[in-house]
Amino acid sequence: MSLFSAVLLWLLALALLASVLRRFRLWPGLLVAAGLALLAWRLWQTPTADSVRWLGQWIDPSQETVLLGFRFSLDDPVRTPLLLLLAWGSVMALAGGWAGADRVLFPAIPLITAAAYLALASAPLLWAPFWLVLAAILIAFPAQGAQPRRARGALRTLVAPILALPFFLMAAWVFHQTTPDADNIGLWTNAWRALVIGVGILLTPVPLHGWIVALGEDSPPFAAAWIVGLWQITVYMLVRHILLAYPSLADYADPARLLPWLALIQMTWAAVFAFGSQRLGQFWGYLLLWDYGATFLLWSMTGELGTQSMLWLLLARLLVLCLIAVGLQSIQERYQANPPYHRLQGASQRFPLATASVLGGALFIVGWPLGALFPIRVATMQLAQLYAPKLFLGLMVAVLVMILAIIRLQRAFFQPLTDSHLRREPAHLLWLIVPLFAINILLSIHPGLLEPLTLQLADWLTRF
Amino acid sequence: MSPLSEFLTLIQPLAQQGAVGLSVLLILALLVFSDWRLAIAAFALLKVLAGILLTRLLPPEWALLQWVSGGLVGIMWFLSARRVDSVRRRQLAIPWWRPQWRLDMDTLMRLALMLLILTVVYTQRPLIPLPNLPADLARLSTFLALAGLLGLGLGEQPLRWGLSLSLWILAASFAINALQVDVDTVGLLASLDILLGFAISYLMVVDGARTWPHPEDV
Repeated sequence: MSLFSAVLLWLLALALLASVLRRFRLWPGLLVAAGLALLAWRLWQTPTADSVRWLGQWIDPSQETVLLGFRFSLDDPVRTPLLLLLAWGSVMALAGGWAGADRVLFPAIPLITAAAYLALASAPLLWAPFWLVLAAILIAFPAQGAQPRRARGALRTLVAPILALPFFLMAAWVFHQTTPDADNIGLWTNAWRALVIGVGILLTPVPLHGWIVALGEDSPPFAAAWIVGLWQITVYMLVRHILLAYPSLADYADPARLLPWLALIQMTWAAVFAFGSQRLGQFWGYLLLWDYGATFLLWSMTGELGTQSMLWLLLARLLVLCLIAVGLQSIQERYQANPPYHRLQGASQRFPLATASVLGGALFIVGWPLGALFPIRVATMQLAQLYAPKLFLGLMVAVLVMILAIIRLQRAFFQPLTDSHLRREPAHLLWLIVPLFAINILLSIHPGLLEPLTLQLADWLTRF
Repeated sequence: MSPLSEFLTLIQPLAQQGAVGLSVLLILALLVFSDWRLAIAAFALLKVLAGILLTRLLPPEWALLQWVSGGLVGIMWFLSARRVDSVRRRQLAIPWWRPQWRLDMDTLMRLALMLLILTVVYTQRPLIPLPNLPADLARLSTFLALAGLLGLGLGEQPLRWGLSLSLWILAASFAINALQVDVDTVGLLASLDILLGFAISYLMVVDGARTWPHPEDV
């Protein structure tokens, strides 16, 4: 058996087990968290060249797998995103299980991770977009949750990968011809254009990333945080792979020139609409959009040299998004899904921990001191100030407006209590929120704590 | 002569001449109708015509895979929409046979937009020059893609989005199958169609259930 098949079977078995146990409150979350963590640990320790013994079988890590005519391999550059996805899944499943997240999430985590893994392990233009569409289709289930609700988030998630697919297929056909028609310049130009459009659709901020806002508004908080994280890791790795495999793409649309502005538009758009939000879910959606843009901004500013910083950011933002999701889950259980601001009376009195986690987490996303993202946001701003002063000004506006939006939310949380029957938040949340705050503070003070992880991940990612 | 060859000979005039125009009318119909039964019927007929038209690009047994995928998707959507609609009708005491034709502002707006796009297509003849694709199929593919994108902007009901995304995939099928004729690509696009249909049928039920007057009675 190859390492690729072993990992895939493990993920599918985990999804099946979690699906069987999904009606229990804590067990599916714990099972998925433990299963993914164990898999990540084994992958981390598995050497890249020698055969190893897994589940009683000898496994060759470099062996290619052919499934139904599809070719897959778990080589070193794929190992990095897979480990990131496993980390995200494991932490979200543990926190979600503890905080009582929607039960559809737990079997969905390993299943969708498996689909994203297939996308990352297959040919970047021909088959990867197809598996990406499969992942988006599966995302519809946790995005919708176990309760009848608006399908906006789930529907919008489907749009970008399905629209992008034909462009990738067309480009793949031209680039993979065995006897390329070199004289047909029009065909080649069209293929490059198609590739630019495909990549653009996956990266474009608005309106194609309206799905992020819809997820924030209409999906359970843990599902929204996890889906956005998983999607960004997968798209970042896929586009990075495409850019490295087809460097001439930059001749048609230079990502180093365009991406910072796309990211800034996304952040400013998100900040303005977050400031105008009237509902908690709306604010959450725009905060996710802002964070999505900020992550791509760092990538565009640092490029290939900033791979280690990007990996640091992708790991650290997991802790911040998880912190906010815990608070939102608790608040939404007591009020309703996506409550309007004016109905949040007494939230700070009855839900002090949840309020602190939402407000604190939102400030940490913006880059407030004592949050895990503080060092990386400061670095992004310094880079912007150094290399693109105009961009830096725009970035400051986006940060400032988002802080004003958080102040508006804080005012809503601190309205006086009117309903004396409103129950307090569960005490067991303390054991989740306090450690998350502590880790955030620790990473803010000492960002080097993640360095051994990011060094190794960056080493694998940049090996060819 | 085998039944398939006989059938192909029979539909030859349709594949060469009439099917493109009929397809355009069906696309307009499925985006304008507010009644799910009419929209799904128009979709099923469109898939039949698409299969016939694709025989010009693909071997017939692959081209007619459109019928299989369209049939499966149509059945899934029909069952989901009927489930949502029958519970709603039972709770509101509306008989099953009464049609849901609403000539409201939404329908009129969709009709106006579709007529506009039809006029533009008829007068301007927009054409994305897709390699190896005959001009009439290229024009149909362009129209399918435009109608799919327009449909995405016409509200956020799962059925409408499912129809619009299916139109987009169908447009892609014409463009891609003109470039490469291999079983992997045909299978990929057909499985994409079916997977999308599956997700949309699930979303139709969970989205529709919130409109039931008494969901607790189900």
